[in-house]
Amino acid sequence: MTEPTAPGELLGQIDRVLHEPARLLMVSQLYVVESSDFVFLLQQTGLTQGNLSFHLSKLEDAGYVAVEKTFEGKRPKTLLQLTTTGRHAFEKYARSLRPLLEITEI
Amino acid sequence: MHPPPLTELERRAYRTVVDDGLLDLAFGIFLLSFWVSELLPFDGFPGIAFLLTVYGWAALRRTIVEPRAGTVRLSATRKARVKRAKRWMVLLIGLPVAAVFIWVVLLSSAKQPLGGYGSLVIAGIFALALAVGGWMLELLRFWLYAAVLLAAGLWATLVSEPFERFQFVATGAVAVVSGALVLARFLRRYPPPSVHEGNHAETAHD
Repeated sequence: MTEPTAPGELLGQIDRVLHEPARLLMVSQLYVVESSDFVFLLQQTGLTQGNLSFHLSKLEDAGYVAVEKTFEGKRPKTLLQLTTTGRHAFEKYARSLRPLLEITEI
Repeated sequence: MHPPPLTELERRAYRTVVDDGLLDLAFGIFLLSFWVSELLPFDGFPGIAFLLTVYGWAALRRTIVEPRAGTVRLSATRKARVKRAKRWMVLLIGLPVAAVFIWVVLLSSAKQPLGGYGSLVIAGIFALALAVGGWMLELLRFWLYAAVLLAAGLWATLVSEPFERFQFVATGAVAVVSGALVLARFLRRYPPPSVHEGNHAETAHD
């Protein structure tokens, strides 16, 4: 039988980029679709434009979200897609959270 | 309050694509064109109306829906399900219509090849396709349209309604009203992003 992992060790496995409510919400939303634009994510998450942009740049820096800025006619359009790295990171985050939740079960 | 699970998030994303009421409006207006065609001296109006509603639907989505709700490419699983639903609808309409056409035009020599049940048969074919399509596309209001279509077809048969396309017009009127209500709800739910206030509860900027 293997020794149960120490809570401290479990905490160390948590992805700090994803362990933020707004970013987790954004990544969850992008996980269930192929891609979306900025307005869609804005409406679905209920975040402010500034907040969304800030967290988007964090996710882009981590390589979790691909951002493509285009134009549709004269209107600028920002297309967002979860990268394969982002997809795997989200799945790993969900898995690493489970044992922690078991500890806090009341 | 628990956060929504991923399946619910996916369903919400899908709903932004189909819950704007424009599909119902286009469908209803197309069906109403059968009534308009009765008033016109030529028969081809529903064909013209079909092209206009398809163009109008695409234009309204671009100008009203997308600036408010944004655009999304649905997951591969959802796209496959929508594709499957469309195929079933084409099959459910195409095969019986072809069968009726072959019977009426080629095989039967009777004056009334469907024995006075023409309205009911046509209504039944389209109602079944609407019900199955509505179930597969998770658009349960299409069951209402199917029920109205069937009821109108039955009524037209029982009272020998002289207007042979009555069932389409009745369903079209219901679809237009329902579409307008869904569109109004959509516009309330998705204000333009410029006036969208969002969640003012600031999250930690680490």
